[in-house]
Amino acid sequence: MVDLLTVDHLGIGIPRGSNTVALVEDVSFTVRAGESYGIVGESGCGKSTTIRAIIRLLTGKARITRGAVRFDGVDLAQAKESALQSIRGAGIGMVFQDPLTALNPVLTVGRQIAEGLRYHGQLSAADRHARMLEAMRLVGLPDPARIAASYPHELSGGQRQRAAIAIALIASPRLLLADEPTTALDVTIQAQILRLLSDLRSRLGMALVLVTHDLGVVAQTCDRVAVMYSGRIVEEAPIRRIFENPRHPYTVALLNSIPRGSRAGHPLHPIAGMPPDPAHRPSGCSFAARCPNRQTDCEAVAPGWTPDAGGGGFACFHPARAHAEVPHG
Amino acid sequence: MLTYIVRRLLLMIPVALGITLAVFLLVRLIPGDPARAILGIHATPVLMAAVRARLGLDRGIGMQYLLYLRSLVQGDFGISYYYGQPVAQLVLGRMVPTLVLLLYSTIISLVIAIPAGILAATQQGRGADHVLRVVATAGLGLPSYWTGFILILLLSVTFHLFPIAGYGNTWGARLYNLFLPALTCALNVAPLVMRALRTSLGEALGAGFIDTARAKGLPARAVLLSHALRVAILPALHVLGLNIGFLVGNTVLVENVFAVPGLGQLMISSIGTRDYPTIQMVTLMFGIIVVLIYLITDLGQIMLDPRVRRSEIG
Ligand SMILES: Nc1ncnc2c1ncn2[C@@H]1O[C@H](COP(=O)(O)OP(=O)(O)O)[C@@H](O)[C@H]1O
Ligand code: SF4
Ligand SMILES: [Mg+2]
Repeated sequence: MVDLLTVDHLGIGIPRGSNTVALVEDVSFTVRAGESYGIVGESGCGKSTTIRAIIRLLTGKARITRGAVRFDGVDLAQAKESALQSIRGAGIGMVFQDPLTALNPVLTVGRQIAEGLRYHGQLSAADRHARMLEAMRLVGLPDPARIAASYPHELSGGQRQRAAIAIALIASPRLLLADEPTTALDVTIQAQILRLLSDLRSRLGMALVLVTHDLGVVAQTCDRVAVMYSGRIVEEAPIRRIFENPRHPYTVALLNSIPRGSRAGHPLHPIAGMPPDPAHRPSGCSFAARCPNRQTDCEAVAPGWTPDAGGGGFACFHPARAHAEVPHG
Repeated sequence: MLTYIVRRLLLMIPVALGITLAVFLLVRLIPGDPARAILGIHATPVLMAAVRARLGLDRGIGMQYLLYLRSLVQGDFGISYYYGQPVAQLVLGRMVPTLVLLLYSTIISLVIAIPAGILAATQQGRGADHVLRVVATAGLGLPSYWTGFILILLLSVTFHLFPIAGYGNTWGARLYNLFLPALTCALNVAPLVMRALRTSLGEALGAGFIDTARAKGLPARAVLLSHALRVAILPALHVLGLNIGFLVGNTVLVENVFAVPGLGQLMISSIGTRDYPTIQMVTLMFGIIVVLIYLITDLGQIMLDPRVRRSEIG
């Protein structure tokens, strides 16, 4: 598979006084055409900041300070606003966490779905309308004509998220970014939306970057996963390896905290403590304060990246043991 | 929708009744005597008493009010003490300039406030925002008769761009003549609308749906106008609606500064002549105008905001 998106040594920061506080540091990963890539980690570890940076929709004063985001031969980190506008929607679509706030409350759902087509391609109004109804059918919205004429507050949470997905898909992007697309929804609806995303990805042949704080979600949906902690990727691996042989102590801790039958027999261990504030990260490993494997060397310098033979790798001085029997690839 | 409008119109009856009572009493609190105003300072007490009796002012105040209400219900608004004409006829002739002035100043307010609000919201904390805040505070603080005089001095006397006063016979002439008075009124209201828009647009620009709009690849202009402004304009229009009473009050002052032959001018001159029936009817008309405009702005709000549409009319 060809590389579709390459995030290369990405750094994101916010100016504070004369310094810059780093929110995300040295993040690199590659998403291949058609694949499903997960980014997982506790709240506040920089997942949203990272994927927002990809289409340059950072919030507030956050800025890319370093690195590149290559998509289609273009470095989005350096691209001009006009170039970004033609890539947003048509090359890369995005779905946000809360479908209620993500939709404009005073415009009809249909208008919001069709709107992207006005700025991508040369379709007539009638064709745009037809495509809109088609996209609504594709995301499983019942009675598209009626829902197209409705306003967001008239839809259920699940329907709103389906509408938001239709908005992101209407201009046929090759990459869909989804930032915790199920977190704001009821549990039963969460599963439906995840299934929809997986289904759409294979039907449309597009790649998916799925951000979540829930490893269970990643297990159902993703081919590969990056685990983020305190603004960095601390482990990356094919999905099986993460579950069968996690190496980074933070990944191990995350797995132990999954409240699901998928890890039956394992007691539930929420991770004690809090991730460090981005402005006050320790000089050594930022997981040190919470890490069961910590030794004195951990606090001196941050651990470097150890590549893994099966793809991916981890950043830790004293990782969990590698199981020899884990199949590579 | 229709039942909602009818219900609102029915609610106007007690409001109108309250206005009649308040005005009826206030008018009689103005020092001075209509008989004296009619007859002049040399009138004899006998003559004065005769006039008072003819006007019905010799009766008890409660009785006077009941008689007034009875004629109102019969559609009889009385005869002006000063002009000797039916008050209804007099007031109707003065309605149009006032309504035109109100509409005109509302439009000018929006023409000023919307771009200024957009500029202030998008430049929040920067130069243009600070300048606009100072200008807005000044606009709010200056009384409209003062602004009116300054505008006359500047644009009429010095630069001869606009007439000092008057109304005109053709619509073109009227719009031209009324420009300065309308601008004067607008300068007082526009800052309120601008500030409301600055706040609501600032909020809207930070809302999640703006991210969605940008993620679609919309140009900045479309994000601002068809998404952020479309939402942010609602609270700004609401503030405009709430300040219609203030705007109407301003037109009274401004009509007098610019000699616009409207209700406000009639009201001030009738107060001077203690022309009770005229004052009463003009004030009642102002009250009805304000209440009707409230109704119109509420209906506008319902039309523009699908979220209240369902709950309000249901
Ligand atoms: N615009 C911003 N200004 C200041 N701090 C920010 C900004 N955006 C994100 N942050 C901070 O960056 C960190 C990562 O946030 P975020 O990317 O939203 O995490 P996640 O999505 O993983 O929960 C948090 O500490 C958050 O407070
Ligand atoms: S480097 Fe040390 S502190 Fe950091 S995760 Fe590994 S063992 Fe724990
Ligand atoms: Mg997030």
